[in-house]
Amino acid sequence: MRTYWHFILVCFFFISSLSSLFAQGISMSPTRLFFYGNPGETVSLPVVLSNSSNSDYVFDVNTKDWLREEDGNKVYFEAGSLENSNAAWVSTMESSVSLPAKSNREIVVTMTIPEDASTTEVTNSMLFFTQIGKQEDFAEQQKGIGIIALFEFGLHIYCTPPNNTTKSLDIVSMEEISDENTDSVKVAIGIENDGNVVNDAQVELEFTDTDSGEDIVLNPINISMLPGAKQKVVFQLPPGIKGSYLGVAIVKMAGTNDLRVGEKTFEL
Amino acid sequence: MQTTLKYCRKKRATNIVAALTMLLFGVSKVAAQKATTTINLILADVIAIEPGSAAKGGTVDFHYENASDYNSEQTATIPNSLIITFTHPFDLKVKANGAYFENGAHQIPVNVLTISRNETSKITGNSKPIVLSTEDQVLVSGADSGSKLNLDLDYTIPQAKSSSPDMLGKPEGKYTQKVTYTVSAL
Repeated sequence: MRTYWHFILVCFFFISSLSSLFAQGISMSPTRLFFYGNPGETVSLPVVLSNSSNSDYVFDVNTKDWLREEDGNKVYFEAGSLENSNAAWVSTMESSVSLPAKSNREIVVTMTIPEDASTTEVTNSMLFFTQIGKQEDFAEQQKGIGIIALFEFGLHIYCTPPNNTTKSLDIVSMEEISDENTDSVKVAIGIENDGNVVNDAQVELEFTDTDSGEDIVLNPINISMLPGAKQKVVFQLPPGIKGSYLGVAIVKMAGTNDLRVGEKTFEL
Repeated sequence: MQTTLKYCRKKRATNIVAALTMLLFGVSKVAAQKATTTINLILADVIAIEPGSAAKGGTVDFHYENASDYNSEQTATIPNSLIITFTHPFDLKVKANGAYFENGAHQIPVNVLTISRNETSKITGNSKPIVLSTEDQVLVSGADSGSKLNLDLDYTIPQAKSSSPDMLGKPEGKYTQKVTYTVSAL
């Protein structure tokens, strides 16, 4: 019984701390939607927008394509312009969402997978909720330059064929990038998603001085990769690092205990 | 003598209470060790934005009144431009909704403005100053997750721009444009 009460208490504190965390402003949950379905199927998932502020907001709903460049940066394109786009399959009941003060809205995102869709390729796009400015946002000042700041949420949309279950990343390279203008040294870890699902991972890099045994542990970097994607994860080494070092890169994939480890000796 | 006794009783009472409390905690601890409970923490994947100070109702103003205004760099630092809570790593992009700050038919190109992260920001990740355009540009990439991370922004109009025909010789008035900040998961 006491354990039960303990559990209730823990839950209570946890929930109350969470609610205070998201006490103000506008929130969206989740931030990524993963659809699973075969060609010809229609699948739906909800996303919740909450407004805990005292202002009313209106959002326009729109889609774009995107791909990730090798440096990890997402680049947006017109909806339907990329090969792996599913923007045309995505729909919502509403083309704009009105979110009055202190309210929540559940928006159902529907994925209509066409009959001729691939049964092996993961497709993606991004659904945007873009704030529409109101008349009263305009400044009262009469002269000068005025900027009206609006904001926008991007919701990742992924559609994975149900038979795709291979979760795998591969370390393909470890190389030093030296910049002639500065004496700072960077190390790029080349990673490829050789599986067939979207893969989240944390990349860690550790440098060990081969003479003194001294360890340098760098801050881990998070990545998320589409199947077939290649990415260079760049770590900045501390300034003034000199000598012979053993670099060990560890890629920890989310949702599995599977690891990828790469090793290379660097003469700096 | 009476008072000492009273004091002793009081002290004993306190001791008993203390002992009982300890016992209670002790027992509950023992109970907790015996029982097995699986506690699943299901963490929601959430992003929250507070428009923050939102710069006096969502706007940032630059004043150009006299010659020295045009011949100097102007920077407006907006603390807490956005306050972001994110349970996953994220990035932040910025774009102008139009190519010009507009005042009726009169226009000033948006590229007179540079936006950069002020060092006082709690939002981590890579960031470099960007010259505003209608293209999505990365303001902060690979930022770590966190709660109530403030982003303090510097809006700068360099002297090279304010003393150029982009701005010089334009009719007096209020030139405005909307700027959209986009947040998305990594």
